[in-house]
Amino acid sequence: MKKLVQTITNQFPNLDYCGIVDRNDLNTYESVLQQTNDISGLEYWLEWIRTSKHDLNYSRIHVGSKAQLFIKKVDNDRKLLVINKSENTTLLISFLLDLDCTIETPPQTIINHTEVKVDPKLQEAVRIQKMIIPKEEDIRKHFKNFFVVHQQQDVVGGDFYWYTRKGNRVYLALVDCTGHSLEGAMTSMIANTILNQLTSIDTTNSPKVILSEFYEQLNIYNQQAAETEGNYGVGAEIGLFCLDYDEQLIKFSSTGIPAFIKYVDRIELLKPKKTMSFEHLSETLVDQSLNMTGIERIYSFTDGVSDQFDAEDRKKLGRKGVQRIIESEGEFNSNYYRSQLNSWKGNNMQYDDMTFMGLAI
Amino acid sequence: MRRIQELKSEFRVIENLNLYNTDSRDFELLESNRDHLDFIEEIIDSKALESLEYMFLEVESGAYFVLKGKANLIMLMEINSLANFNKPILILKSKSTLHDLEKRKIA
Repeated sequence: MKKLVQTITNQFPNLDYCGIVDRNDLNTYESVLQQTNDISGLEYWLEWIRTSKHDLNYSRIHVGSKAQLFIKKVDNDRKLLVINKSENTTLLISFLLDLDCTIETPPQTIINHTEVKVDPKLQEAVRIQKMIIPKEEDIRKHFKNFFVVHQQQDVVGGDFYWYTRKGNRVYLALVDCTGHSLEGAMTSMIANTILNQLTSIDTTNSPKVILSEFYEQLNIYNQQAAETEGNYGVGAEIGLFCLDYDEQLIKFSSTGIPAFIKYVDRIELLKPKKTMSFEHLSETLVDQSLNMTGIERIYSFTDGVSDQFDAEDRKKLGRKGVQRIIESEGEFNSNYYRSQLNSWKGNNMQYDDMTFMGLAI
Repeated sequence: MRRIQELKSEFRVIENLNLYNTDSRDFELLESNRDHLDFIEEIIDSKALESLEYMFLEVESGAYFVLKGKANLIMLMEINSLANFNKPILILKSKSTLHDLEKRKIA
């Protein structure tokens, strides 16, 4: 069983405790307390685990000091016990759920901290969603620089980014589809298809017109869906940029996605219109048109970024928080912004899909 | 109870929803088989409850999500699986529902 513990601690070296407790060996329980003495109520939880008449297969217990206790059945008497305050909870849960504790030699599953072990049922969804998400380096070719931090809450999700080039115009969109995980991912496929269709036939060069037509199309799908009981359709928030290099203009239209424009001497927020209804959308959408001259960088993000709570779970980052991160920018790359966002989140759970992109023109 | 119905209709993973009052040590709402939920009394008896925020639990009778309120209520949900649903959103909305229920009781 040492191999089981070793497998886990190799992947998650910062765990507060990882070991096997045995109902017939009180020393194993006392050993936990000796090695971990600052977890609120731990002695009482150990008592419950040891004495419960229920056969615990799995439990994840969140206690007051932001610590989690994971319990997984090894056999009738023995339980794997993992105590965590520092490691990434999402990765740890995924790893432990997949770990087979019932065999003497556990599978030597190797994961790293940027790669989540994926439920086989979602493997295909992951593969297919990756097909529609463009490579950062492909987008970067069209600008001085470009980066994106794309952190889905699950292995797939509703956030995605999209671009296309037509002559001297580059369209770039940030899309936050309704739903998370598979639901969001499926909606993203619809949104991606409509965006491709509309931009290929568009002659207006107007993000507002494209978005208006986007929602008209989406509405048709939703009306069809409404005929089926219980199907409430899908939605999406989009921030769509059109960078017109002939006219040296940046046009931006949005239904919920904000953008910050960084000039040499200031940062301006382009506030989005929150779209609650498809009705009269073409009348409420606007194209915000900006001269490229003087603009250094553009940043845009989904609400998962601004709505993310801090490590203490007390305060959202908010748009002002995002602006502060931009203002104190260390480096213009995904590593810097990813570390800033993760630093804000700390060990707290990620509440939503998060996408943050920046482009230099 | 409208909030509870809304929560249940939003999360189809919830099979049964129960509310346990730690003062009266009885259920105020009981949809599950009571015998399957006696782990909550075990937890109270072991004094572990005080440090609990929430827990996911899989025992022989099924899977459960347990959330402790700020006052004297505990929400125990019997769920049909521990996988494939959005746990952070469930936690967030359940907290909001439970706190709302407790506020109304106090009022």
